[in-house]
Amino acid sequence: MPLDALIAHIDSLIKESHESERELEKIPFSSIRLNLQKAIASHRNGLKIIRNGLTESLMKKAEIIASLPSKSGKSYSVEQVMYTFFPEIISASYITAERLNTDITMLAKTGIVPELYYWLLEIPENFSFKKSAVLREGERFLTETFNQRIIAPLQTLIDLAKKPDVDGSLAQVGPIDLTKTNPVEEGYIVSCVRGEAQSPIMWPILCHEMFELVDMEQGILKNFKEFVSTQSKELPVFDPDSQTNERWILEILMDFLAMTSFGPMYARSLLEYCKRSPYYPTPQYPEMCSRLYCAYLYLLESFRTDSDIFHRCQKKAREDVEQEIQRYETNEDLDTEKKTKLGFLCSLMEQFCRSIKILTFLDRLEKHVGESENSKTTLKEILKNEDLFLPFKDPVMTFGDINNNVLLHHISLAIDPNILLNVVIANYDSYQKEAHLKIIIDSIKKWKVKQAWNSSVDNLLHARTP
Amino acid sequence: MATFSETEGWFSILGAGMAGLRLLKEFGIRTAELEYFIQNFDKTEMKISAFAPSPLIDQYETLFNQAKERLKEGIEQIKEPKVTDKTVDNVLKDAKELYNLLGEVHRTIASGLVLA
Repeated sequence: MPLDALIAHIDSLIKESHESERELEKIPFSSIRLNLQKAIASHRNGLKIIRNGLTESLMKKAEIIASLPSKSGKSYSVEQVMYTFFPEIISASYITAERLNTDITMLAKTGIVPELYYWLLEIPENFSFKKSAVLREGERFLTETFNQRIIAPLQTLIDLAKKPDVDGSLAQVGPIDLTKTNPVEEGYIVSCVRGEAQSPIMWPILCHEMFELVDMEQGILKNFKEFVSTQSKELPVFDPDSQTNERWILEILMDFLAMTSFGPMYARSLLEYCKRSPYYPTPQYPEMCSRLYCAYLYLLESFRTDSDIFHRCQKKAREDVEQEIQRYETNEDLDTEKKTKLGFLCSLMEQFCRSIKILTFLDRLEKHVGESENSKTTLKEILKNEDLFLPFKDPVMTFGDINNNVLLHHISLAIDPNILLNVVIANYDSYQKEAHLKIIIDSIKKWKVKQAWNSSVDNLLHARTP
Repeated sequence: MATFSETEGWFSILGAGMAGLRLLKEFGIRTAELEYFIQNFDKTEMKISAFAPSPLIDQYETLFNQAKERLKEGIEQIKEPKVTDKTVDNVLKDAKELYNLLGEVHRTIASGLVLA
């Protein structure tokens, strides 16, 4: 049979995908495991679409073409038709099959710790997001839908199978809907640069990706544009091409939301990313100086909070970013006109942020204080006054407390990972992967357990209240 | 920056176009592949970023844009019901050139060329 070798190979990849899926059994968290299973099943269906597209559509067409008289009088076997007329389609199918296979492996044998899901998915969940979202190691930070990653590259094969011929020619080939038997779920894949999956300093960039996911699902940029027009204002123009301009504003907006949600040290992560990967603007991504300058403006703002965590992180991030901003100014990458436009954009984004339900870093700090016990109250006193179902409470932590516990004494803390990571990144000179990565991951786990426990206590108290 | 999946999609559209052109020339039939190519080629945002780092941009951008423009013009010509073999050959040559350039670029992505 023509394409024997390729079809046998794709079959072996489909089989291997089941073996990869078994790797997921090692993940102890069922909801994360389920999301990854769905993602792998969708990728496997992508492989099946390729297989069926080739065997049930393209090959059938080749059989008919082989029976037609050619203008040159030359006759073709089915195999000759496949390799003479369709070699690029076959080659593209092979390339995509191999990439889907790599994707499956990256999902199954990942260096991304599952605890990160608990921290990161809080962002889309706050926007009532219900679909599957998975993290994978990749070549860059990127958010894509399952459809973009799996179906889009196969669209030509799918469309040609659905409408195999034009009127009056080759009408014998029956149409097939390749996606009907091999459906691909709706969901999102967030890629993290492979080498950075275990670098806490780069994790905040994933918050940016989480907001991109929400934007793709609910149109944050669209809402922002509407908000700007209701203010009778217009978005600043950084590039004459309106599509490019919009994409650049989207990137800056996602940074702004990530920084508002994660906290001041997001700016340091952005700077680190820019230093590690010399960054060139493209129609999709604005100059790094624009992104960093907006982050810098946030660091210059004064916010009212009693917590020393915010002020110390803000000061540290400002010191870190300031030098880079000065360099941009010296090199004339940042001129007065650009700074004015960016300042205007930031003021719009700030007003917009107040109009959407986003848990800010200041909200998190307030929540941390609200949920913490009065440090003067002893466990004995709590036991006297409370029910047997005690809420899980920690004392209020200062910047120094978190730094000492985590980085100095290697004690994991059940506090909001955004707060913890801000302090860790602010003291990143003391961070050592071997000593601290596990402590940070354990902290996220403890925080999640604390949340689940306190929510159970709340539910019990609610149920008992007449 | 173009993703691998986007680039794969472009390969498929160009591949369908080349298949359609060859079938038109050899059998005189206008197949779904050709119509698909005519309808979808211009919808792709296939271009090398104007901001890609040199020297790669100098190496590829002009060639890429020229090949794309020639192909667009060729597509206009093959929309006509009657086309000569020579026209088909020329369009096929331009499609192949763009496909090969895209293949080269695809292999170079990892070494820093920025696609958009």
